[in-house]
Amino acid sequence: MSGRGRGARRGVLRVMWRERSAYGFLAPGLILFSIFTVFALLFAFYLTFREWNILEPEKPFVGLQNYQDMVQDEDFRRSIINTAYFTGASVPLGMALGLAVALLLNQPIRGRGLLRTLYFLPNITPFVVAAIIWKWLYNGDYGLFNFYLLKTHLITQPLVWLSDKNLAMPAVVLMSVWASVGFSMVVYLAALQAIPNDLYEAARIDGAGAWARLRYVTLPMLAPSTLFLMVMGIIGSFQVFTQIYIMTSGGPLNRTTTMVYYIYEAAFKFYEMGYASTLAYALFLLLLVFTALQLRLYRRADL
Amino acid sequence: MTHRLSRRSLATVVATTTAALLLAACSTGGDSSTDKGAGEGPVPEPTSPVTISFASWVGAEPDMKTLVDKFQKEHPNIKVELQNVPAEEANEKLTAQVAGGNPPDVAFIDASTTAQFASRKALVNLDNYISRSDVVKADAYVPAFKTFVTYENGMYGLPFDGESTALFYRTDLFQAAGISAPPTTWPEYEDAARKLTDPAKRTYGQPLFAPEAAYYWYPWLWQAGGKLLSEDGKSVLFNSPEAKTAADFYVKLAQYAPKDYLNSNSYDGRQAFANGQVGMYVAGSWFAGTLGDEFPQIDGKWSVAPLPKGSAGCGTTIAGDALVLFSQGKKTDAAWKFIEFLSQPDNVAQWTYKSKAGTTLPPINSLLESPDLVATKPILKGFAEAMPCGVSQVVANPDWPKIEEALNEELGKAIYGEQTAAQALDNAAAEAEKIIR
Repeated sequence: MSGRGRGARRGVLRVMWRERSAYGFLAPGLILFSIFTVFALLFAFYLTFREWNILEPEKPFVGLQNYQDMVQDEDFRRSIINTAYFTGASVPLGMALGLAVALLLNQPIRGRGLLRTLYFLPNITPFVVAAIIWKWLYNGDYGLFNFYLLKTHLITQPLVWLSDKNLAMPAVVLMSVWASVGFSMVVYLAALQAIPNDLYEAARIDGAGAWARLRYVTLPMLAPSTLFLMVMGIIGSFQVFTQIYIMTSGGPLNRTTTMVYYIYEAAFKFYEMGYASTLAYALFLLLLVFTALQLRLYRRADL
Repeated sequence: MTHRLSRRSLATVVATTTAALLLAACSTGGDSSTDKGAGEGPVPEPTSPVTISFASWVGAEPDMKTLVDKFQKEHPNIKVELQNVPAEEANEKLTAQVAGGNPPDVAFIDASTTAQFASRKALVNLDNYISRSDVVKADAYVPAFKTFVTYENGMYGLPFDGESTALFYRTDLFQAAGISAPPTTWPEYEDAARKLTDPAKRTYGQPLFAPEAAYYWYPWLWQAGGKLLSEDGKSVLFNSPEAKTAADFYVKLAQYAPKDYLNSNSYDGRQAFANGQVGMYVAGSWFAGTLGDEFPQIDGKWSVAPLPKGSAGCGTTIAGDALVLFSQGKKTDAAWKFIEFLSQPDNVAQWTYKSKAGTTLPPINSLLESPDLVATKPILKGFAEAMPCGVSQVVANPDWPKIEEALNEELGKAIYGEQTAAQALDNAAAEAEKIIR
């Protein structure tokens, strides 16, 4: 290292020493973060080369076996497809509905504040409680959905939603959309209110109708929020677990076994911590690629 | 999953062997588990005060406290120290304690795990002690329970309580459907299920749970004369013609099951029985306790009968708990005194059917047949009658949970109509063979 580098480092150290009280304040957070996040991350990576049943202290080295198993694991491939299905359906739907509600509630209508609160309520409801309630709503014989659907003659036979192999995933998606609309709405509302009014005025003078104003003024101005919601939504829904655990346990016939649920099963049903860690790293990698891709796409679109 | 099982089973064998070797290395010089208790006549009382540890999840129950107090009064030199572990963690905790060279002296364990611990040389072979005892007689136990605790011809545990699987039925729904008595044969069972099923009224025969398909299929398998694995645990027998007959009958019962519960489990499913959605429910005697505690509103509207008989006669799944001694313990004689005391018939009776809240059965023939049992707990009648038909489906194979998972998955597909019952068994057998090999 050059003399200049050493000098710079000494400078940094001096600053650190001078501001030492700041580190004291940061310590509780840093220590917790190091133990429960950084250490856990590194330990999980170490485990991907090991076989460990969590009970016994031995963690025999297995080389790349866990990775090899993962590549050949059909059930894991299935869980990726299920996760993609869930994400592909719930994220766009939640965002579109959130935007629609935000556009409506941005109008000067009566009871706007109350309506905004109501739409946001699912977001602050404990998720486990919501999932249990939805499980009952979906009940085939006693559920409210079937009651009204039958009453309005939209269906003639009761649907068993969560026990039907083709309906279970859509049912979980619907519940997740319900839970996420409030958040998208709040984000879009904030962005809508930040759009300067003169843009609309100028558009109106140029003869733009309501649709054209939405298409050429509102949507482009909302793009950063859309990117934000999409990245957060995809990251969140790739990690979907609670509603699966409560409502379907991955069934029927593994139709709703998502990646995180599959990782959970490997770890806590079959006690294969090494393999579960490997799967978790695969998920991490997928998320990393996705996020990088999205950010790049938007950068190219010059936003 | 198919591809990684075989390698994993190998690794498990390796892991188990390593653990066994480590255990052997840990145990102190030459004190092999078969030598313990050698000698003649009654086991002597300790001359100076001794404290033995007793691990269980029942130490806080009043009946157990009474028994321990009584024992300490009779044996003033022995003090029992209770270690409590929740039932679902007991196995893991004991495994860790054995691996760490620090197990308790006595433990109350799920009887079906006895062979697992015995095969790792963690337990004392009790044959020497039993031969010297006036109280404990090996042939006094119900055979299926003896099988649970026997490993390589030695008894490694004393069965302490048990339960069998029987048929719970709603007397009110049976009456409404015009069924006079609980079914005793397969055709009668199907007939009852059909009569109880009326989707318009939202009533059904019995629930079926795809995620737990295997466990509730076993009784039908026993009744048809089928088996899961061969005695040595090396070959798969559950796709025999008898097994296929049983699976076919079982899977067809899905038409009399509420569809809402097909993807559910036996614990959540209890609500279907409680609110009258199903008229029949196959379960162990734990279910009687649950119904009494949680659903007093249907008291008097349900009863229990033995499971129906199949072509090979009666058959039911049993489970239970056993008392064991650990080979690393140094106070084995005193520990034996304690489990010998607990195993006295009057104490076993006190612990099982005479217990206030308990719904378990004594695993001892003479108690099971005594009129005292039905007089004390009438609800246990059906279970006691089913007991001699008990099949201990103990498979002392560390890979069994994975085989059962394969069975669940394949039978589940059959219940959902994706394949026939016979295909399900063949597919599961193919997977099981890979796992065993």
